Amino acid sequence: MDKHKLIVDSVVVRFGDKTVLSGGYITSETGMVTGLLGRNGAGKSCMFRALMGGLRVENVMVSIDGLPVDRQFIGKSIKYLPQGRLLPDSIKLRKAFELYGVSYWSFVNLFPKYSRFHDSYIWELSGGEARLAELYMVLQSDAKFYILDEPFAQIDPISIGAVQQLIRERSRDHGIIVTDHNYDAISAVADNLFVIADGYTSPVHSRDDLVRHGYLR
Amino acid sequence: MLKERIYLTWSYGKVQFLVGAVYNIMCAQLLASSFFYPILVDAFILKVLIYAVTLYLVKQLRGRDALFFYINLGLSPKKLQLSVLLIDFLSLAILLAAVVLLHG
Repeated sequence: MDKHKLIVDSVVVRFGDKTVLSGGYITSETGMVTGLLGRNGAGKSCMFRALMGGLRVENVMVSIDGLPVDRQFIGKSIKYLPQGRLLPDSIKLRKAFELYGVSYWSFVNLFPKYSRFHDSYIWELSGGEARLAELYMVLQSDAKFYILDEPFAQIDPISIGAVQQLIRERSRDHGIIVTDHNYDAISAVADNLFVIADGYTSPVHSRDDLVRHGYLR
Repeated sequence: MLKERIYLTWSYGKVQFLVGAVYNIMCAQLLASSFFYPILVDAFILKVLIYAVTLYLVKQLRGRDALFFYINLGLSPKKLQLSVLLIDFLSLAILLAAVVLLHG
């Protein structure tokens, strides 16, 4: 198994006078799940959108194995599941899986109820159903790293276990970064944690760190 | 690979292609029925305006995260948008050139 290391550093995001991130930093390694926590508006999604090239930012440095990443082709190394709807309305579910090089039927084996959505558009699914399909598609596609922005949102409690299992399995030979407000769900899968507060990222070693950064009481 | 690229360009710019096609056909028909050269210039000026309005509406209506579907596939949304623009304008140019040639 090839080991890879992703470093995202010096992320600066400003919207007008408001500085969202002044020193965003996160790292990920093959074989590890990194959790990123932060309150609403702390800049978690901004950091991911910035590193994927979906947000114009003042500064962002992305490197894999010490080499800077050409962000025009970043999707070949890093797959990102955004907070909102990933699949465009005009693409059928099976076609989207095909484009991502993922077998739709292996997904159906895991979640049999999706057999009837084979020929459906994403808007024909409920929010939770769509989220699970997108999550599986992203996690099973070819990449060195996966970034999952609130993967547990909208997913029913029974499926959360299956998603955690999937994340653990994929983390054996990939690096995964996860952010979510479901602290218990994240801490159950994460090997290390970071928190974003006041525009900066800090490592979390204990629950007290989260209290100190105002994430927990 | 090329087939996929064409499909993704089509899915990215579907609305713009459809609006563009209707406009292009209307222009060609107008030029064919009342042939005179100044229409050619007007057609392209109006095309730019319609393109800008359609682009604005598509950006507003498209989910803000849908562009990551393409980024994940290693495609740049800017390049996709440029491809849509080129195809749309090129098809108008070809259509109008065909009408001009047919009218001698």
